[in-house]
Amino acid sequence: MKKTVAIISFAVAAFAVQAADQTISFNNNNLGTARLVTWDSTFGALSGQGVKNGTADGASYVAQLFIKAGDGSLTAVGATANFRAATTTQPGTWSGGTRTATGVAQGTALNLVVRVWDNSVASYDAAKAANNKGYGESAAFAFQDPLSSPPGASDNFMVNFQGFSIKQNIVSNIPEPSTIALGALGVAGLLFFRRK
Amino acid sequence: MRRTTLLLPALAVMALSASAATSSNIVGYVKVNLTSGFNLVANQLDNGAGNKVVDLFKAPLPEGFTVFKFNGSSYVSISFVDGNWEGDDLNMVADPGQGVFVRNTGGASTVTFVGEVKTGSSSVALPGANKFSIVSSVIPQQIKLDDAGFPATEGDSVFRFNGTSYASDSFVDGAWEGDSGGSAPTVKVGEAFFVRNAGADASWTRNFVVN
Repeated sequence: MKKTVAIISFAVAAFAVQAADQTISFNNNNLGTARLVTWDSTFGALSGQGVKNGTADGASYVAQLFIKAGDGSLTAVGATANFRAATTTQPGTWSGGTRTATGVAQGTALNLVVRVWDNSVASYDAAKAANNKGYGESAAFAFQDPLSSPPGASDNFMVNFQGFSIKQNIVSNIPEPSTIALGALGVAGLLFFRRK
Repeated sequence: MRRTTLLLPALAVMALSASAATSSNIVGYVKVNLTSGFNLVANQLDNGAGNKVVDLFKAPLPEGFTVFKFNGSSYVSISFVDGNWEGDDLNMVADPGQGVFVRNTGGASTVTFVGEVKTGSSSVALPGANKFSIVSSVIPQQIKLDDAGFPATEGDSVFRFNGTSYASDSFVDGAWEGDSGGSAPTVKVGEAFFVRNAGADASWTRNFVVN
């Protein structure tokens, strides 16, 4: 009987701590090893450096967390987070905080993705479609709150997140053949009138 | 997790008016509300008898009521079963400046800590190299950590438990950022919290003087 009571009380306690919503520590500077977001070769001299706002490329970047469903669709979890200022000692990291996946029971296994883009456009997709706007996304990574008992402070860290690089679509400055032909025609015209 | 603090006014007045005499102690009590489930709790008064957990949390307690103390890597725990305490360490201590996890197996309730506010200089150890520790303010005050002289260093994080999950703040590039909206986290009376100290071993020293 005593055993039964003890088991019931334990079950009640376990229930009490399980929340309806899953919180996630949306940070990449608390993971022990560097998991940075860097610029790729399309950014020239910045290539390989950790992303930070207001540096040589003048842009500001944001990161946002998404849940990736089985069909590949993404659902945003909470607000965007800004990357740190040019003076930061932690380039490649964003200034995050706790994000709540509403309606997702604590302890649910999730696939997450982090997307980063140039904040001068409205979204990741807009940055991807534009020219000279940085964008990139992480590989999908597994997340599951271990529901430690008592709850551990690091239970909701994104321990499987890996760093990644962002790129941009470069606008070509090389004139198209038709432009070259038009120029040549102009020069020929000038020479013709000069001769006359 | 709402908490109520009631320092006995008569005793406090007596203490404050006794500056010309020999004693300047503040004696009182702190009531801490416990939700059902886990609570991160601080005893911020010295009971004068070693602050043993078995003395601080008195019967009647619900069956299975458990207190966990973090030792830097794992928890030791004692539970109230069949009217008695049992478990890893019946001499477990919860001094002002420390904190314990309490698993309240009953409904919402209150625990009352009675004792003396620590005066003079008191220090709380903050083990470094990214180690976690559970700490609290030595003085029972609701206060922002930077107003309480908390020695934040680059990369430090503070985690406050709300009954189901943590709110966290980090000290990055010389400023606080995170769930407290860019200011230092505010801790309540009777509230303990996790600290991850990214720097070297440190101490959080508070100097409390009664005039």
